[in-house]
Amino acid sequence: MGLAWFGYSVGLYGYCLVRGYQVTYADLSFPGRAVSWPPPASPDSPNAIEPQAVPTEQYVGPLGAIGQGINAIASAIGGLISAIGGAASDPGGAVNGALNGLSGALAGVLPNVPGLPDNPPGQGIQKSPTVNGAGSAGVGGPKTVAPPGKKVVVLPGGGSYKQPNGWTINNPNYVQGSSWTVTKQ
Amino acid sequence: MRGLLVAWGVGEAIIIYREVRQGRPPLPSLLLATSGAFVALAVLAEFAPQLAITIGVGVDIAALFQVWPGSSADPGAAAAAAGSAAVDIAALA
Repeated sequence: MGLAWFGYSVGLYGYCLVRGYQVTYADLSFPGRAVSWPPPASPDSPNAIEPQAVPTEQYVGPLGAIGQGINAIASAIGGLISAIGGAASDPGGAVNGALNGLSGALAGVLPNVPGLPDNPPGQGIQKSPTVNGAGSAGVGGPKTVAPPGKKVVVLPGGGSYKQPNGWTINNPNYVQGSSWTVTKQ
Repeated sequence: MRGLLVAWGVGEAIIIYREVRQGRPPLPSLLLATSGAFVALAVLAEFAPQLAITIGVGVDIAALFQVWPGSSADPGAAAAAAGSAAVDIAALA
């Protein structure tokens, strides 16, 4: 019975420690001591560390910086090895991916060149100017000047299209499939 | 001696029940004090066994009255009475 009592008293004291109560083993175990339940909580220690919502600044010493650098290099090597392995297993996909990445990188670097505007309703895709030598530009509207050997193929609908090089073609008498040469006024 | 041992066990059980009913664990100091009292009665039993047993049983009966439902010394009844009194006062208001 003495052992049972001792084990119970020690267990209760441990429970109070875990809960943070300010009570001693003698207060719990020996008669003649006034103990309230629950006992008062222990005051916060000035050295207590509590988790912060915002991470505090971390000090990175020289060894830590070297370790971080080694970690970065190892990560880069590992990524390169995995990329090589992926390219070896799927060459077409690797080339496609590389070209897509290159075009994305160039799009971010090169200036924005305005492309062809959308065709009016009923229009198809307008081809770039090519060489013809036959036909003539439609009436009305500004005329554009085509360099020698340039041909323009215009799809049904008419209207004016501004070419990427600043040319404008205005063809109200448009005939599908016809070819027009932008002549100099 | 056997009778005193039984009285001690019953007394400890009543004390444990009373403490648990009040919502707190039985303090080891309280159990030790009660056991110390029965140890004293055991010493008395060496000279007057019947008297020691009688006193032990009397202590158990007194503790039992404290936890008997409806008694004035019942902690649960006291709390319930206080609560009902508060309800009555609130109803009158």
